[in-house]
Amino acid sequence: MQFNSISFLVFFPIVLLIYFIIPKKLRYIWLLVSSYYFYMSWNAKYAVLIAFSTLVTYLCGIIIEQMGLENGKVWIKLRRFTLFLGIAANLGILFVYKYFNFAVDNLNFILGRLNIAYTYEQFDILLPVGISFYTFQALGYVIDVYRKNIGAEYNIFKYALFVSFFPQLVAGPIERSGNLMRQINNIDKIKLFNYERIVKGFMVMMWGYFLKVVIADRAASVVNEVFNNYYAYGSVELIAGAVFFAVQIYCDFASYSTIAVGAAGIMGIELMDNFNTPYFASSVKEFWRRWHISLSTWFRDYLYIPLGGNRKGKARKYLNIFIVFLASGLWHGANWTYAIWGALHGLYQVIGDISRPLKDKINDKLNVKTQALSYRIIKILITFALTSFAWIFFRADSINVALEYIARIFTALDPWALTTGFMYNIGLETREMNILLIAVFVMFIVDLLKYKRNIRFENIADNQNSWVRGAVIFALIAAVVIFGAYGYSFDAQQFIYFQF
Amino acid sequence: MVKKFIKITAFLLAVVLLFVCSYFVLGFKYTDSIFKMKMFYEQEDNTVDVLVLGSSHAYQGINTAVLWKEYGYPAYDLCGAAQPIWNTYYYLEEALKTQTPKVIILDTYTLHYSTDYSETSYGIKNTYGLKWSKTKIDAIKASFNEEEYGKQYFFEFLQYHSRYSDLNRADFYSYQANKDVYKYHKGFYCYFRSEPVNYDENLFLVEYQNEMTEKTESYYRKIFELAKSRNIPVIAAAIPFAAEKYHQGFFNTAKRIAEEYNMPFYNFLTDYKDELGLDYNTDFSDNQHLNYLGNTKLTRFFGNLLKDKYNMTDRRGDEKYSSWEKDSEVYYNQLENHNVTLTDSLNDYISVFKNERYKIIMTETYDIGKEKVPELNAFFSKIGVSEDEYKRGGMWVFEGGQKTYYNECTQKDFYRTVRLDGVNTALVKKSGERNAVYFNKTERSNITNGINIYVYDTFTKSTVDAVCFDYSSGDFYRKSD
Repeated sequence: MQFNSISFLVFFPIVLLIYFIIPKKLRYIWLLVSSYYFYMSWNAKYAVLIAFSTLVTYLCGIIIEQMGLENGKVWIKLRRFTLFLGIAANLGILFVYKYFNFAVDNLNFILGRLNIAYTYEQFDILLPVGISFYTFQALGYVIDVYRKNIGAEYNIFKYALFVSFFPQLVAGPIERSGNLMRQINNIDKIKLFNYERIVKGFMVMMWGYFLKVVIADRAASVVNEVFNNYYAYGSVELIAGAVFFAVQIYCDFASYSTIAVGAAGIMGIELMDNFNTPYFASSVKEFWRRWHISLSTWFRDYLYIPLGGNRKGKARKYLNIFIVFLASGLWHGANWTYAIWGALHGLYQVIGDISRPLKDKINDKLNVKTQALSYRIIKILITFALTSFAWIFFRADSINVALEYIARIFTALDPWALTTGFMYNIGLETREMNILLIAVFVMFIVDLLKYKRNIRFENIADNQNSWVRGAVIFALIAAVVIFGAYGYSFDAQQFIYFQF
Repeated sequence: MVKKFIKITAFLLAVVLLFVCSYFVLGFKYTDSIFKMKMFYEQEDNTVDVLVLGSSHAYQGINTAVLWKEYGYPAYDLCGAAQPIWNTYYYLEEALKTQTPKVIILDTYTLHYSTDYSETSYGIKNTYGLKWSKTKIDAIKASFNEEEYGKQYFFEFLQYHSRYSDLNRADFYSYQANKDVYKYHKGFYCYFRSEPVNYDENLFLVEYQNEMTEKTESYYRKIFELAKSRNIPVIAAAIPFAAEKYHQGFFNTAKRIAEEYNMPFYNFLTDYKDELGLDYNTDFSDNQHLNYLGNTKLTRFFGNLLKDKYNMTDRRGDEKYSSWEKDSEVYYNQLENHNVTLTDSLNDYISVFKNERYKIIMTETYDIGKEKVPELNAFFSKIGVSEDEYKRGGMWVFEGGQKTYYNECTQKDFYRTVRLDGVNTALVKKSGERNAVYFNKTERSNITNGINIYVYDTFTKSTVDAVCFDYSSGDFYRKSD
């Protein structure tokens, strides 16, 4: 069941109500049952996968901890082997369900080049939703236990809830065991009727819905139109299509995390902030500190640092960055387009790092005031252009399409489109486009407040009279229910994130 | 605690209000379907003697006004645009909850549909007018493919919330923002335009029977079965349109099935074509529908049939049925308006000025040749313009059959707005030798040497006619929209 489905509108209040009235000791059991129900509403069979992943990592956690208490080289080796098993099992699931067909395709391609006819039956599976999220979360836990950052969890139900907690189950944030496990362990101590917390949680949820159904799904109409018919558009429309995709993907990703944070917040559980105004980043490196934070820190802690991070010299550092971003690209989807998207981001950062001394020199020579607002704005715009450019690969159906799309941006020049109201001819009629532009402007202001003054959305009306907050929530509800893209005239877009 | 409680209650009330207002403003009100069902609920119980069921062919074919005015039979066209037969069945089921018609007239046009689900918009149009009950739930289940769409069509808000880009004045008022016309609506809709339609002379030769889909046939039969169980006779009919042979094949099947239930089937395309006496050059508004001439013929056929063969009562004069009197007034007013547009001389127009429903703006410029047109003097005097005003010229406004305003318009550039009713306003503009009347930003008539007449009907709230009379040529002509 998706967050923007009728089922969820029924499911969530029921879960909440029972969560509030049952005895404290049963809360985690109830949430576990709810989470499995939530997950199984897609396909009951998927529960086997998540249960398997849970069981394996649960056992690994306990075994690794117990072995850690023993002395001797054998134990160290066994301990490491258990970790390896845990990782292999999870990545194995991920490989079979996400990358198998991709691998077979590539293998066939290579064998075909060698004139060897070898075709496999394609394995027909629909990617089980959220698999990339919970396997990573479970892996993080095992590694944390191995590193003795946290103790192993012995209550299997509590641990199973950690892996399957429904608000963040299918599209993140990918929680750290340190944060979520601790809260689950203390779930019976949460004070339930905290008016402020509940109102703010609700407010955050509504903001998430606003991002999803008012902005992302509406922007999708433009993006689909331009990307599906790129050959019929000139540079101006193609650039607009890429920019709207940047908006769409941000709102789509962020909306899911935002709804998750809000929903968990109502229940008294704090999830991490997953997006922090990423398009205000003034370098690609900074972008990754603000974009999908739970994933990028995961890759930092569990891949980049083990690879040696920046401790083994420049060349090795660049290689590591490259590996991490290539992996991150492939994590998003089993297609070379995602790999290229990841590689581009790796490249951006390596080039940015290598060229820094040169850039500093030029700035110095030309007396550029690097602290000035104007300088920062330019950097922000350049960063946005670079990330938007990379998104073209992310969105395009194939590498060829992406390349042609980009080629057209530079060759099919049509600057006069700027004078002919092109914005209203790329998939949305005038009124819908105006609603989209206004909504994007609202989002821009909200993000600006967070960026400049560190005011989170739920605290936006804290210094005002209480009716202002009421009005904000009311306006959000009105915008979502009336201007949301769902129902007859719109196909409710699937949350893009599920397929990753 | 109390304060918070009040706050939360107030907030929830505001949210409820939001949904209520959204329902009233954004909710579907299509006059070709949903509105007919909604108005049906306003009929007094057990007053509808003739229940007409089917598609647009039926609601533009059975003229409730003529049936009332000439026969005294209260009828209701409980139909929907492109209505599949399963929706027709559920309409019947719903109708029988409050009405006991003496006879049902059933249009069989859509029996040729080859799919089990109609287009979404028609599905919505033919179900959303119903009040919530088992009937509505069944109707929705029958209308939408559940495997494909899940249960979303049970939530009407999902479907209509995005109508904000589609709103017009009618959405903000009840009765389509025109109470005079719609308050006593009986489902009938009429076109006054004419379009020649092809008639396939070989339809008679079609003897084969086309097989209906299983779903269609079962619902078609269910209609007869339900009517039979309530002892209500059904008259099934093929209402004329530009039919092709395969349609005729379906009508043949429809006839066979109707006869299995001992119900008559009138095929006006073939068997009863001559008796009906349609002129295919003038009696249609388009290739699917009868116009006012055609539907009057068809309705008279049914009127006579009902009078002869069915146990009907003439309800004219009965207070309980006064809404049919009001409804027929709408049609006859529209007919009168239409007849105004058929006039072709200034003399014919004199009676138009006497019509109390009309608000008329007449403007005149320049008077070259005025004296050369002998009938002018008589015309002006007959419509109540004094000789003095006639000689001076200018602009006049007539309402309630009387002249109510005169202005000599001596200013060089003359502008005057004329309030036509609560909403609409016309503008009179005289500049130099040219005078013109504007309505809705469009110039409705203009002339440099002669008179402009603009006629507005305060009942239907629409422009009736705009004509000019040229002094120098003596021509009477009409500016078409």
